[in-house]
Amino acid sequence: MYSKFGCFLDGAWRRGSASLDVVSPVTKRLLGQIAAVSSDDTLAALDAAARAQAPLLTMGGFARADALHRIADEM
Amino acid sequence: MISTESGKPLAQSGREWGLACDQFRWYAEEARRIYGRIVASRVPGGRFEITREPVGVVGAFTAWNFPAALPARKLAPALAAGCRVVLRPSSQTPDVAMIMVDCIRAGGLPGGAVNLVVGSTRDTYGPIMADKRVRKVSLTGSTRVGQQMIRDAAETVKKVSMELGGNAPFILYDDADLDAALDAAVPTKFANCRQVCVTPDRFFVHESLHDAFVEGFVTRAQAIRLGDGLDDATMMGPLINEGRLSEIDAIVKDAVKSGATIATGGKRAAQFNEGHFYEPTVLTGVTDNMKVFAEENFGPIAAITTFREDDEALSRANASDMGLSAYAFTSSPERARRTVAALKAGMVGINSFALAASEAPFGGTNHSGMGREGGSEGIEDYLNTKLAQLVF
Repeated sequence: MYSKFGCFLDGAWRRGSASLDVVSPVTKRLLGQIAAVSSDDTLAALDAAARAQAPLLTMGGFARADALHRIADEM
Repeated sequence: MISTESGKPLAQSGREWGLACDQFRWYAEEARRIYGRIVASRVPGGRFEITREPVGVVGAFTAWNFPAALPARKLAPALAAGCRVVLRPSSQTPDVAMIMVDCIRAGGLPGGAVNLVVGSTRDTYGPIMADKRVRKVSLTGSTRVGQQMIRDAAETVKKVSMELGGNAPFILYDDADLDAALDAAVPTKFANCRQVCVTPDRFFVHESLHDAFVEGFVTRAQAIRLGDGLDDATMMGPLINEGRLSEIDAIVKDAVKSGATIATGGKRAAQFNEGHFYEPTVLTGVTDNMKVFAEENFGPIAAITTFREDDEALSRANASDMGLSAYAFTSSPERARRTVAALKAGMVGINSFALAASEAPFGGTNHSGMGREGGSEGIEDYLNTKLAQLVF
């Protein structure tokens, strides 16, 4: 069930370094396994977040507003 | 997916996803309204310019009870403010957050603006808390985890927003509309199997209305249909895991041992062989020192006691370290005003439980945390103030 996504690092889905079980509270059965990160993966996420500072600021509030509306449309 | 992972009824999941979308719409507009100020300076030729800047990289940690609403409440204001986020959703309900992040790709934000990590505390929480570049952490979780996070944030002096537990009082004054109060209180009490931090927990009922209130509460509680959240007829799903189930069972047993009476429920739901189902439970004769009253219980238990004087109800309602939400039902505007002023809580509902909305600042005081999510206050948590003295 969880094959489509994973961990989202620097704008792309990654498979992660390990996996975790997800269990249904209704049936107690395994729903599937999700990708789990290593501490290096988390550091990579933090690096990506740090690098996004300049482009995000350059966008400005009005362009960010448009982006957030597009996200809501997609949701 | 919300119902699959959390077990909550489909109708509640649908409303939650709607609320999550609404957060992005609301904060899209707030992104255009990040204002500063110009203030007169005493320096000749000078003026103060006050502007707002994004705090920087944000670590966002969310719980399993609202797998869509909680990430949205952090992602939307953070991105509106111009912050970047590393989101760590609960590993018990990860897919909902993943779907949301996948939708965020459609927004066209720079890569790295939003990142999602799931994994062990050591591999996710550890590096995020240790990193100097992370300037703020936002948690929706338990008070115990919040206390640890505040301690860990001190090391690198991170800003913190904490939406922690609640143990909300509900006061039913003798002039209240009893049926309206019951019709609102019972579905709210058992929504999401009471795995909601703002749920009314401690019911202070005026002694003149006690018997009628209990009778009405029990009738309505017994009509609640338990089952799989994916089944349309289901009104209440299971608790999230086995640990919660035994915890709730122990709390009810402790209350009964201390003199409380089970008016309905009080046991695991017998019709389910699997899953963590517990019957909607009403306890009467509860006293303030019982565990069920003194501590937050993440399970479907309504604990009822009586009062005689307004001041007595208010002071007993305030006898808690928590301070998230509080509720009262009355037909008197004067009593309502006095109650709002007296109750120690971040949010007060009078004749209503509807507190969570994108346009309203949601959050608590005392051990329920600090910071606000929603409203124009919500974006403040993600902004720093910069002062410039400009002399020309």
